[in-house]
Amino acid sequence: MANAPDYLPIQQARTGSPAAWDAIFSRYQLPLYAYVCELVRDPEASLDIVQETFINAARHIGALREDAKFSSWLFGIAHQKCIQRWRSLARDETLLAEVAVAPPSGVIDDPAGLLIRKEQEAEFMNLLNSLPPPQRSVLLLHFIEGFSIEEIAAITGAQPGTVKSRMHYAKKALRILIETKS
Amino acid sequence: MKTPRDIILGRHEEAVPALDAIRERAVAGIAARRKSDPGSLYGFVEFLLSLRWHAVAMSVVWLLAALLGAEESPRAVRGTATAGAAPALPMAGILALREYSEELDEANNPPPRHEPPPVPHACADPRRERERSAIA
Repeated sequence: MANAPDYLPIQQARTGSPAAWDAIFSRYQLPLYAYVCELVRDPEASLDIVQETFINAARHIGALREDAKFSSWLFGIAHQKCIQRWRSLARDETLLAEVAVAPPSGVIDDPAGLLIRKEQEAEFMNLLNSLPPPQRSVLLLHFIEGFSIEEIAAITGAQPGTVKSRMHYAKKALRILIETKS
Repeated sequence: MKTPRDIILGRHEEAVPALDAIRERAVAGIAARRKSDPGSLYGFVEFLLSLRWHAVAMSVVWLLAALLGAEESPRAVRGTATAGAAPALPMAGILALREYSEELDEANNPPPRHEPPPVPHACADPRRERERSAIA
């Protein structure tokens, strides 16, 4: 994970310490918002989802078994909120449906290793936004927090193999973009 | 050159003040819930934490007491062994107990009394006899 060395006072948060929750929320508020906003594409709704995620996390921290899995657990709550929102908006369920893809053969790169030039930033975001939500979700989780395949599978409720294939095709599309533009 | 993370987060920097406000509200809610619900787990945990130094002090006291007790008992055994000339034999103790139980039995069930036969006055005091004969 990209931010693994961060110290998070999870034990204190379990006892309901406001200071501990403040530190945790400070650490995650922007990555969580960015993830939600890139998925639902509605800033106001994204703020609501972040707030609900914080409240749910504080209420149900007892359900978290391992402190080390806190970040994936937190993103999992936010992901479920996004799905609830999609469903409440009666969007086409096919948005969440499986994208039929073959299993990948390549190895997934380090998210910090991929560097994008300033002039490519807009294209990068356009490409990200053009991906179907399942692929976009996988790629966002990988880029924002550096989650592993297993962690992304736990967050999204998908099979690790499915996550792997989504990641592969999303990255392949990204590489094509970077190579053609450079 | 930027990483994808920098690009994605950079696009949402303007939301930080709103996120700060959300965070403050959420933390205030946690603090309020903690204060208003002292009987909950939070209150219980805080109560336990407040007792931790008392518990440590009591543990130290009990540990000292246990250590002193452990040192005292072998010394006491050694003291009795050296003070006496010789340790009492178990057989002597058994004998003393048996004697004591016999005494108790006797006290509880006294043996039937045999009246001693009346002593005949056959042999009178010869001095008195002599005095009587002299008066006569």
